[in-house]
This record gives sequence, C-alpha cells and structure tokens, in this order.
Amino acid sequence: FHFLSRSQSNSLTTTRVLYKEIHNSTAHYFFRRISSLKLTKMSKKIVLKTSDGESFEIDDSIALQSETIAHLIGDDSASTSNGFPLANVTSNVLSTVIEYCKKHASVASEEELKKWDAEFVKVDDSTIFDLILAANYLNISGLLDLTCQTVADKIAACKDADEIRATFDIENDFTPEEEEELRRENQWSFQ
Amino acid sequence: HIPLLSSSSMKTSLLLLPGWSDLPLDLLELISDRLSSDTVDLLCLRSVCATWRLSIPPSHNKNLLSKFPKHLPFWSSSSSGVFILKESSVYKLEAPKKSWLVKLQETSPGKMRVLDLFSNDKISFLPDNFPEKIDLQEFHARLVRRAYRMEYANNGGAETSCFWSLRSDKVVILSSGEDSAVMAIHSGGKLGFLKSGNYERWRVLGDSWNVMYDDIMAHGENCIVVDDKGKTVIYDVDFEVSDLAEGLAGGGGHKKHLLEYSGGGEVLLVDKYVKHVWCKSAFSKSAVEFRVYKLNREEKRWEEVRELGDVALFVGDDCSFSVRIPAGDLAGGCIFYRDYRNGGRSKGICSNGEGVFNVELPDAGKSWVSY
Repeated sequence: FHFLSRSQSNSLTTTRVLYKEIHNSTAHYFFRRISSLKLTKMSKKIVLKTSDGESFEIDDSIALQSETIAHLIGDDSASTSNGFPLANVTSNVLSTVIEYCKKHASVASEEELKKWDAEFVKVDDSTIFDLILAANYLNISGLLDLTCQTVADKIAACKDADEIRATFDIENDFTPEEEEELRRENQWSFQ
Repeated sequence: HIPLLSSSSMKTSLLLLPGWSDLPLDLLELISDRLSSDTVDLLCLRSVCATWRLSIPPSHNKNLLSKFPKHLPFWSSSSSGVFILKESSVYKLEAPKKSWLVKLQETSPGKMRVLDLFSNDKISFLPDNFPEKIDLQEFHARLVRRAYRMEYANNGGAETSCFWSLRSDKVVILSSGEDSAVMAIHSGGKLGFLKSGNYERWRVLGDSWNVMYDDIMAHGENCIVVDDKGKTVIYDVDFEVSDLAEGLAGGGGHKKHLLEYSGGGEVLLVDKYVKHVWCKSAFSKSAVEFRVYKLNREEKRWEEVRELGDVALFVGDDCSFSVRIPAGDLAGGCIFYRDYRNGGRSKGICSNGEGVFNVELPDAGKSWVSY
C-alpha cells in the first residue's frame, strides 16, 4: 500500500478514499502494529455501542486489546454510523472492561499491574460473572485469565459444595436419584 | 378501571437473570482447570448442581500417572523385572469434631488403602474410632502431599519391595505441558531419570563421580535434589539445573530430607544425626537428633531454624511434609518420624530450644496422628 503525504494529496476526499483502501484486512495487521507502538500518536477513536443503547468513545489502542473488536475494525461491514454494536455487553459492564483495558494499555510495571488487578477484582460475584462473560465475548485474554482465576480461588476457599452453593447463590437442583449417585461417588471406604 | 400491577406479579414477569449454574461450559472448564489437580476438588464441584455435574468429568485429566507407561524399566537392562509407578496421597480429613491425618492409596475408585504415614506399609488394624466409610460431603478432605514411588515386580507379576535397588523408592515426577520425566535416586546414590518419549533405559544425571544424593523432592513442576553434604540444586523438566544452596559446614548429619513448608513456597532441610550410645547392657541404643534449616534463596545457603512454631514436620521414606497444627496442641513445633532402629515405632521429637530437635514428645508412638 502507498503512503500519501498531505502535500501530495490534492483534496481531502482523495485522502479519505486512500485511507479506506488501506483500511482492509492486510492493513488491519499494520493498524494493530502501530497502535501497539505507543510512540506514534495515531490515536483514532473507536465508538462502541452497548446492548442498552449507550455509546462509548475510546482510543483504538485500548479497544484493540479485545480481539473481537480488532476483527470488527478490520471488517468494513461491521461498523455502522453509530459505531460498533456489541450485542452482549451492557454499559455497566463495558465501562468496567474499559477501565481494565485502559490500565493495561498504560505504562506500568508488572508488579503494579498485579496489585491493580487484585484490587480490580474485589467486586461482588455478579460483577465478576458479567466480567467473565464479557471478557469471553470480547476475547480479552488478560481479563478472562484474571476473572477465571479469581473464581477458581473463591471456589478453592470453600470447604464443600454447600459453601460453594451459598457463595455463588446456586440452587441444589439434584433429583433424589442423582443425590443417591452423588452419595456413592463421594464415598470413601477404608481397607 | 385499570388494576394496579402488584409487586408480586411484577416479579414473575421479570426475566430470570442468568446465574452461575448457567455459566457456559467452556468457561466452567477454564475455571475448573485452574483448580488443583486433586480428585476431591473435582468431586466437590460435581456436587454443586446438575449442570456442573454434567460438564465436569470425575477424574482430572491432569493425573500425572497417566502420562507414563504401566511398566518402567528396571535399573539394569539385564534384569527381568520392572518398576511400577504408584501414587499415594496424604490427606487431612476434617470432620466437625475430629481431624485425621492419613496416607491413602486409591486401589479402585472410592476404595482407599490406608498406609503408614512414614513408609508404605499397609496398616492392618485401624483404630476403633476411625470410620470405615466417610462421605466426602461431610468430611472435608484436604490434600496435604502427593507422593510417588516405584515398586519392583518381576515378570511373574508379583510385587515385592526391592530396597536394595533403590536408595529410597521415592520418585519425583516432573511435568510441564506435554513433557514429563521421572527422577529417582539409585542405590549407588546417583540420580537417574526417564524422559517422556524414551522409556527404554534409565539415564544418569550429574557429572561428579563422588557425589551421593540423599533426597529428591517435587517443587512445583521441578525437582529439588540434595546430596549427602547438603549441596542443593533444582532441575526442571528439560533437566536444566541451577544451584539453590551450597553444602552445610562439615557436611552435616547422616541423612538429609527435603520438605516443603506449609503452603508450598519455602523449602526446608531436615538433617538427621544418629548417635550411638554405648551402655552397660549388651545393646547399644541409638539416639536420633535433627537439625532443621530453611533455604535462603538470595544467599544460596541453608539457614538454621530454631523453632517450628505451630507447624509439625513429618519425615518419611517416600514423602515428607509439614502440617499446621492448631495452637496449643502438643504436636506443634515437632518432627515426627519412624525410628527403625528402636522397634520401628513412630516418634515425635521437639526442639531443645537451641535448634536441635532431640527432646522426645511423650505419646507420639502412634502410627497416626489425630488431633
């Protein structure tokens, strides 16, 4: 693809057309590469539209932490005049996710990030639940790892299934036959 | 006249919000993979609700034993015997009023053979107050340590212990991703290993011909090895070695044991001294003393430990471990071991206050600990 500097282009429309040409799948890779070089100030804004109708405008360097959004950006047909629609994410959850992405796009030591992450997950369980689903849908590996590990740690801290059910507000929906099977499975006999 | 919607009918018309039991299965897998590889944890997850039960398999695919063939070669290729890898686990069983520390080997699903904590002898007579069966939903079983060993079998299939071929039948399994390896100490004191993909023959690690290794221990995915002078190194699954500590001044005592401190992070060395005490009668008694050291990773040396606090150490043939003891219990701060010389009974020893553990704890001659 070609670079046209402003001095060479004659009109704004030409630049825009060329920009669109660049803006396809081969340039998609290039696009992600520049945004990861935090030196170039090519901060294009991306608009994300949540399932409850709110719009969020964020820097592409932050948005691109989501593999899902990165693919959407590369795909011309995905964007509407209002931005990229995210059918499975509400505005509450998206703003929390954006908080995570902003912190992880900034310059910070590993230790600092770890500390920040630990504080970030100190929220109620339904928020963690929403975050796991959002991280999965948006394909943000760091956030998915963090939230899954948080839940695993919570489960490990529980003494038994009763406590897990109480912690996560899960109903015991076993039939009497299943309960009997469970009892057999959970039995240790000593020789 | 429009009837007002009452609050109860409003509730029924609300969409049911998805809850944790509706977590997509692949996400549930991501979470359960991050839990420890103990079967008991998986059984617990399976007992939560019907959806979780369907998506979580009863036995973890991380079971280390499944990565190795059923029979491993004997040390010398000329022999007609083989080694069989066996697994046993030490569990803390906690009921509302009583706790037990037991070493178990699962002979078939749900059937647990009870072994002596310090060796692998089967305990034939269980104490009267020990339950015959337990329900894991009531008795909480927490894994303290998993141990692996090799049992010798000749081609007739009969299993006989073959102590002369191994310094101890203890084995460490290293595993990282797809790679796995087995390390053991040969009776000559040399380190042998078998790597996945090549189970024909044991190979010997280490280049010093005069080094005798005393103990090996699994530490995360790696293996820590100590020689009879206290020099300690760590191997990873690719057998890259790095130094952990230099030897003890003067070489220390007669037998060294490695232990992980409660929680898994810190490494301890328990050095056993056997003293012969001549007395008037025809028999000579031997007294056993221990010194305990903690690994100082920055300075790469062993630092003496004076008191153990509320932790008890158990030093065994194939498995040594530490357990937190409730404050006030006599067992806190003691080392438990099996004294083969004086009748083979298990003993507890605590510190004399100067970092030497040689004061016998009364009533410690049980083959179990219950507290």
